[in-house]
Amino acid sequence: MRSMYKSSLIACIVLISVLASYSFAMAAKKVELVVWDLQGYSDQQWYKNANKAFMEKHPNIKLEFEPHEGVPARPKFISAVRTGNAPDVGILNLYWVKDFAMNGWIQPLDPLIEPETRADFFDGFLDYASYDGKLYGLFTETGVATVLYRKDLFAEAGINPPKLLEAWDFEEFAEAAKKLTKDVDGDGKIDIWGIGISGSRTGGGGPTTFTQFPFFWALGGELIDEDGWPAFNSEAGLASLQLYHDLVYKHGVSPRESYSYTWDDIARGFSAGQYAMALLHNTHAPNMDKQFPGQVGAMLYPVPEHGITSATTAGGWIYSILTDDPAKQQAAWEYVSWMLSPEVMKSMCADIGGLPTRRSVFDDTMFASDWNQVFGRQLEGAHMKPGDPIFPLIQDEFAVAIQEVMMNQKDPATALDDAERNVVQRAKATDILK
Amino acid sequence: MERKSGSLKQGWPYILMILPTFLLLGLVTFYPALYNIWLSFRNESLRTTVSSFVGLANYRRVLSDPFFWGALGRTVIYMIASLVLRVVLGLALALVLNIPQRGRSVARTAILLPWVLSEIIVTAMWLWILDHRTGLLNGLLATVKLGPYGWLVYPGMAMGTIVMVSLWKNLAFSFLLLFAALQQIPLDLYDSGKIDGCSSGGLIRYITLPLIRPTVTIVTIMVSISAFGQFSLVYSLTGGGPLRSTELVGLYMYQQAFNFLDIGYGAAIAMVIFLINIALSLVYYYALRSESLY
Repeated sequence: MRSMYKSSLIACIVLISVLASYSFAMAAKKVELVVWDLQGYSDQQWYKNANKAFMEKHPNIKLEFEPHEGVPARPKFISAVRTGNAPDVGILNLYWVKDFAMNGWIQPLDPLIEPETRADFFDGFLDYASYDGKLYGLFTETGVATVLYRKDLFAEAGINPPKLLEAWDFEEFAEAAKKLTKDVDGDGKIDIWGIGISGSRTGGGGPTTFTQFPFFWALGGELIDEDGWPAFNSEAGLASLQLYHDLVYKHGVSPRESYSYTWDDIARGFSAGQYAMALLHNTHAPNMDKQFPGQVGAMLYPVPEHGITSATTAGGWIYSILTDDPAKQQAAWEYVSWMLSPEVMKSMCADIGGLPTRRSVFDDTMFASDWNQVFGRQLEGAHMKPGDPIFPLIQDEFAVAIQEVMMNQKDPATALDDAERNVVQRAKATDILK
Repeated sequence: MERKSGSLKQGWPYILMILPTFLLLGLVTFYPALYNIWLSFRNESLRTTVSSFVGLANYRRVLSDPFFWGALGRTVIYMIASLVLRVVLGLALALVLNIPQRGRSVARTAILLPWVLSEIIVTAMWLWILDHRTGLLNGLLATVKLGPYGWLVYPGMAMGTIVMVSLWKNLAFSFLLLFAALQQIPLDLYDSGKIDGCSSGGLIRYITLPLIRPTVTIVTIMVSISAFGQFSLVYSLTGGGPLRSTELVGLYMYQQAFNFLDIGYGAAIAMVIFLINIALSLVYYYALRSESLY
């Protein structure tokens, strides 16, 4: 009996030792996470600092970074998922998230996210990154289409910009642009144009529609109906294209070649002093201000008539977790939640001029500048491009319609009819529409 | 029989040496090509995880796609313009620089330089030169009260501009091959021709051109294939615009496969381009083949 007791005791001690050693070994074992991040982030100081701090805090998590090139990386992500080589964490373009969630390629964050963290994100961003009632990603930062203007040129022309957080109507906007359009040297050619607008189809029409859709949305436009069919061929679509046509041909406040201009062309032109106002992205503001210190202002997007909320397009990048390994998911969440912590988000926005997606960060005094007040108000009427499979076709054909109207080749009604027909034809050919 | 096995025994080290090259080629050329053929018969899309065999459906779609035909028409125009300019100018330059004279090596180097530059650098440079409002070219023209011209902006001008940029970048290829062919012609033939009273034009017509015809065939086929597959210049310079005025089939194929994730359809377009290239090569081969040189 005694020897049996002794044997049992020894067996227990051995078992406990083995379990303890295993636990220590497991604790010491590193979790390796493959992170596909943005090339645009990887060289920046805030990003390096944040990653360094994370690795110091979490020695048991090893991060391996593979930067991707942004929007064109979508096929690369999908191929990786389908061949079983998906990263554990990815920074995704916002338009991909719905598609990825529908296919089960990204994991719901609901079991991982703390309620107070969730509550700190603006609702619109949580809604956008949700599918079927589950949250699939969190925005790193956001950006909006905005109207930048030169304060000095406004003063020279005797024009007062709209009051902070108020918007001009389309008529006031066009009138101001007319006064700002000038032939400075008297050679019969315009040297300063009232407004810079882009109409290029480059990038599948992405940048062009980013700055044109705010007019469309302010007019009450919808891109896709409830059944998933294109809905842009509407009164709002017609009026928004007519506005672009009028800016070029009726008011003569934008160059006739605007149909071929990209964002970069408009930004270069604004930097070169060729535009008094320009439709750009909020991150362009700090660079423009370097060129014209203290002379660059931002105003809300014009509205069809006073009383309508100024609309804009918001973009951004989203952290999502792709791994389905529970141990890795927890480590991935540790990483994602750190990279989206108020501390890191604040330093990122300060560095790249992006807008925070967390309430606690937006309330910080560093976002109290006039620019950021405008961008913040603009976010209230912000729309994000839908992630539906048909959207890239709509964007591409809508951009073609914008170009045709800006080239005076087609009237808005014909251009939109053709665009709608092409979208339906292309969507049916690829089984997006049945 | 013995000789054969003997040759094999002697040849195995050589077979072993070229085997890695064959394996590599098989992996990066033949396998993707065969895989592309397989894809072209499937409704493979990166939007969904399931795909199935659809027979000739993708090919039927290619043939009934008006945007494909539009892109094909523009590609044919681009190809003919590129072919004529590159072969004619390449030959003219080769003939001129084949004559011993001072500065010949400097001129040859100048022609070769654009060819060795990466296409990304070339397009970035030309974008700055050709910019409608701030470009160097319009700046120069303004000094003589001309312009500004929308080189890449006006639909009627953009294709011509791309042809010229492509000519600047790739002229060296046709020049080099034709120049090398000219150097192979024995000078005795020209001396004999002169003794027989042949004029300079006659020497070119009766001696030079017949002797370089095989090279002209090669250049024609290579330039056609390269022009038909043109992608990077249009992608970087115009993105296919304005409207669809510079959307060539190579770019159209890329857009279908990688912008709209329609891999099966993109593969079918690639196969159609491949078949057109084979047909063109056969036409050139039979049209330009030498019945007998002498």
